[in-house]
Amino acid sequence: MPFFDLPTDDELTPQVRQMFEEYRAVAGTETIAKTWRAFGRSAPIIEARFKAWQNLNQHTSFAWDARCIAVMLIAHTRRCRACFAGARFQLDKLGFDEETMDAMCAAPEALPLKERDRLFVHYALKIATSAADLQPKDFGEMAQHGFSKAEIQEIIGFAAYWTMNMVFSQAALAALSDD
Amino acid sequence: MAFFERCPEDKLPPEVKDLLERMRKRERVDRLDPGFYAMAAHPPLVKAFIEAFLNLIPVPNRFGTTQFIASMLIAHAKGCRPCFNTSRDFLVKIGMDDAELTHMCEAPMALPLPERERRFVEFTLRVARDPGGLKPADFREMERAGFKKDEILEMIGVAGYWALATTVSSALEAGLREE
Repeated sequence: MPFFDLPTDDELTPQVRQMFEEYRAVAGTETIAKTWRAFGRSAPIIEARFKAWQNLNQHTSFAWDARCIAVMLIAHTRRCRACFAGARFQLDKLGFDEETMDAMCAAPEALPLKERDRLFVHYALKIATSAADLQPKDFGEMAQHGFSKAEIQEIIGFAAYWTMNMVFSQAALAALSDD
Repeated sequence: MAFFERCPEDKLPPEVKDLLERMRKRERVDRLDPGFYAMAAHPPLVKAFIEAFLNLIPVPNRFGTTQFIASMLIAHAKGCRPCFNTSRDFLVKIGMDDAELTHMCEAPMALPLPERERRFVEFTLRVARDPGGLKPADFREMERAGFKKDEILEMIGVAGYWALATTVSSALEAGLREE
């Protein structure tokens, strides 16, 4: 029997229910992912994740397909099965086939994308997986590639959001698995 | 010259000013870490960061000052200097011995703490460092050790927050460093 259960809508506070509704409406999904619902009894966790999702994942000027590819690659590196599957589901809807997605995971430095999108993915992956190794010159390089300071902070926020989200998703998956 | 600029107090956007004021009150400091003033250029990042902090690291905190040992060790493991310094400085300020803190960083799996606090720190550190390595049995073990489900949710929340904070703070610190 799993350690966590999935609370029903009736068990949620009105505040959590409303955030789930908004999430569902904006994300265009019929159901709330179990990696979110598993935390439904903790209003602070849902609020922190929801506001981070709104501010750091939705509030961005970067292309949707590039964002999905970045999430797939961050999830691949961090071994987050839920986020990996979610990103590939979205990419499949955009017309990417399995072979193309596998090739991206195998060679993330040679993505078949427009230069700006490819660089967005490159830096998002770099920040999400090795933020402590960043050097001042990395930012100069990003600026030389045409990213404004605000856009660079957007990339930092995007990478940080997914780093946090993967902690919640991976913990939920483990706690929802059968012993 | 540093890549990111620190926004002066009198130029802060009103929404950011309010959030920083809440953070200052909560931290009981006159001036926040420079990263907050760099983030001010991109308000969604400030909003997500501070909302996550207020929700996931609540006051009063049931884990007390042990919370700061967990954050020091997570920051140490992830190589985030600003988060490490903030946590460690606080621990020194409340009277913890510097040599003992160094020893904790060197041997985080043999902490000289009472059983309950040691388990809290070890589990939270584990969730933050390697959430993909969590097994259903890890949650059962925490339950057998006397932790309730809502306490375990809170530990995951702490780990999630520090995943976000160490990513953002490491990146901003590099962008604020002189070349």
